Amino acid sequence: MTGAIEPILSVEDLTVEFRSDSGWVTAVRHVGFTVGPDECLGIVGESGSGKSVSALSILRLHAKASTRMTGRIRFGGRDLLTEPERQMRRIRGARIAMIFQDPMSSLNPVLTIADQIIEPLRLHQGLDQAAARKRAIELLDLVRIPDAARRVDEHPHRLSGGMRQRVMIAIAIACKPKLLIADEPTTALDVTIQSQILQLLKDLQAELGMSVILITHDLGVIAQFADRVTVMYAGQVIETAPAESLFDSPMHPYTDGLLAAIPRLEGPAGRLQAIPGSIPDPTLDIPGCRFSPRCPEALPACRERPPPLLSLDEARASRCPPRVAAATRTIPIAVAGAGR
Amino acid sequence: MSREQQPLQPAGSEPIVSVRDLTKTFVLKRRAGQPARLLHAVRRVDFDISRGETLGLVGESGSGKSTTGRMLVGLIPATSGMVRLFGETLTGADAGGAIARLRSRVQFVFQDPQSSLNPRMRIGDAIAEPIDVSGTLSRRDRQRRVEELLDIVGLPRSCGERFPHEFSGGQRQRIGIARALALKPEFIVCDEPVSALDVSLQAQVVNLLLDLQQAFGLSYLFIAHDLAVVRNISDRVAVMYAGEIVETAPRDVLYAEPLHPYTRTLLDAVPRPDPRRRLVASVKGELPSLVSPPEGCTFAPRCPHAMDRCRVESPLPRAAGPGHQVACHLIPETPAPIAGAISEAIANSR
Repeated sequence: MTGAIEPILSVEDLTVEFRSDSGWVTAVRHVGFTVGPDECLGIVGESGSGKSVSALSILRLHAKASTRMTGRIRFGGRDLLTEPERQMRRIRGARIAMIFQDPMSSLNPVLTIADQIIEPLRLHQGLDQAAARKRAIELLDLVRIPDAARRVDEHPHRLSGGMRQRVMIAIAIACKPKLLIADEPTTALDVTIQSQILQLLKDLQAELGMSVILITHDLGVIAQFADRVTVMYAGQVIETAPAESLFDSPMHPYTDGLLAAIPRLEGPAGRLQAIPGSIPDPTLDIPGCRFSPRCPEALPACRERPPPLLSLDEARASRCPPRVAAATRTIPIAVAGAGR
Repeated sequence: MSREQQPLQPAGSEPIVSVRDLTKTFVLKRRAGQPARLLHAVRRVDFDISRGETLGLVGESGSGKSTTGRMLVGLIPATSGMVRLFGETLTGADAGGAIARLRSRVQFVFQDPQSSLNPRMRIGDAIAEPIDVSGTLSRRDRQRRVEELLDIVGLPRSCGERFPHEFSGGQRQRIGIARALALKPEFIVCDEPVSALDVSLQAQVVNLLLDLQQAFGLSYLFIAHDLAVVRNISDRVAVMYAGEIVETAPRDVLYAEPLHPYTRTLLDAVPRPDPRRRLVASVKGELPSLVSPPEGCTFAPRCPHAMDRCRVESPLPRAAGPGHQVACHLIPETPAPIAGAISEAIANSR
């Protein structure tokens, strides 16, 4: 939503359901977001918010037999939800790449680093073995792994957690993707290593000119990295805003609560401001707003009808009608394509 | 003055926990044809904890903070050094007897309530297990105590009949805390108790721990990697790096006037929830090998202020102010100077 510029990815009205022993469970409900060229969109939420499920849907990485997906995921003039599997294989790792929280479980322990970086290069770019190996060493240099020419022949267990995440990033950027999806990329890392990896991602984004979707539960990481932020709660988008506006003037009581709950390094210390209750069970159908049982500002109307995502201006949207009404003093308009 | 006599807590309060020179060395699996290798997990750690006080022990992975916590309650034996709790010495000849006598007074809360609760045991029985083992209560009093404990941690009394999988992560941590409280302990080691929790639940559990401390006069050793969480619960904070305590200070002093370059690095690396304060340059390199730690100061290879001396001589903790110890050669050894002046000196050397 960066003015007239066409987004490179547009997720519209995405609903994802999983099969469970007791029937279909809705994990993601009518979710919509866009990513502009060279932009970093942060998706923030607590466990069970549906942030990772939404991201995995972009590459259709859910088990086919037990997943139902509806909506549209527009990328490069196509709808990724209806693309044939053959076509998806050309997109995964080449035009859209992904890195995960735990690099150890994403790397193959019996293959060397070289083998794992070379694989996408040969598959997507048709490089021969020697050229791919040369490129692999260049990529390790690019992700600031010291002594890359030697390191390339080592196995993942020889590397620290931070170095493994660098290798994952090298694999992800090997084919110069247009979009990188980073799902909790620094959550398993120590804070000094986290700051190194975030800096690296930021440098690479500028050097390679790619867009990034950063998924995290950590509002600190979001503040450091994201241009725009989408906040998710219990399977829904509840707020979208440019990063500075979100932290300056959140437009949803859940965002308020999240920001207030963060323990700080400055200001008064001691008791924290908690959000009462816990995240609702995804199988539970809540009649009104899904946050209303925990919301300190809930009105009777909030518990009756599910609120739509409402537009405040070009860049901002919130699923809290009372807040939006108070802010705009006009009748809010539901965001197109965001469903009910 | 010997290390044993150095007062490490504010004057006037008798420490209930005293740790001196505590060291843990693990012997690693021998590789064929090679001598056994040693991993130096904790080296010469000193601290005291007073009644009703919380000491925050903060550090990154591999810093030795969890190993220290485990030695403190006798879960693993120390290699050398001394641990004294309520006058009982855990590291002496009668360690087994000391642990048995301390069992009701000292408890432990684990990081992951999921893996520390038996999935096939009802919550009520899990909470009552310490009572059953100690055999101190009748059946009726036991039931009453379980209900009381559920009340204390803010769970409905009906929970007792349910199983762990029926609870969320935050609720399971409440159960872990209820279990730790069962025998009315005086001192609890909390090892990353909120690290696995979402931020809104994390705040609930931190508040619960603060309330319990007030209500029962508990003392805590609060182990965590998150500096911001530690700040909100601790009275004093000790920072560990590569098995050693590099800085100890009253909470407000540590966060306002950190003196050890590692403490500064760690504080600078925490991403602030403020898009206008984005990270600047970050510290280079990673934790050194604990099998062959560097000579001299363990942080010297990454330290922006390292001098020749730092690479050969390991710095001993020295006083930088009331209750403030720093193991860094940048800090003048005597006399105890004004913290602000040191800060300035470090800032100028940048």
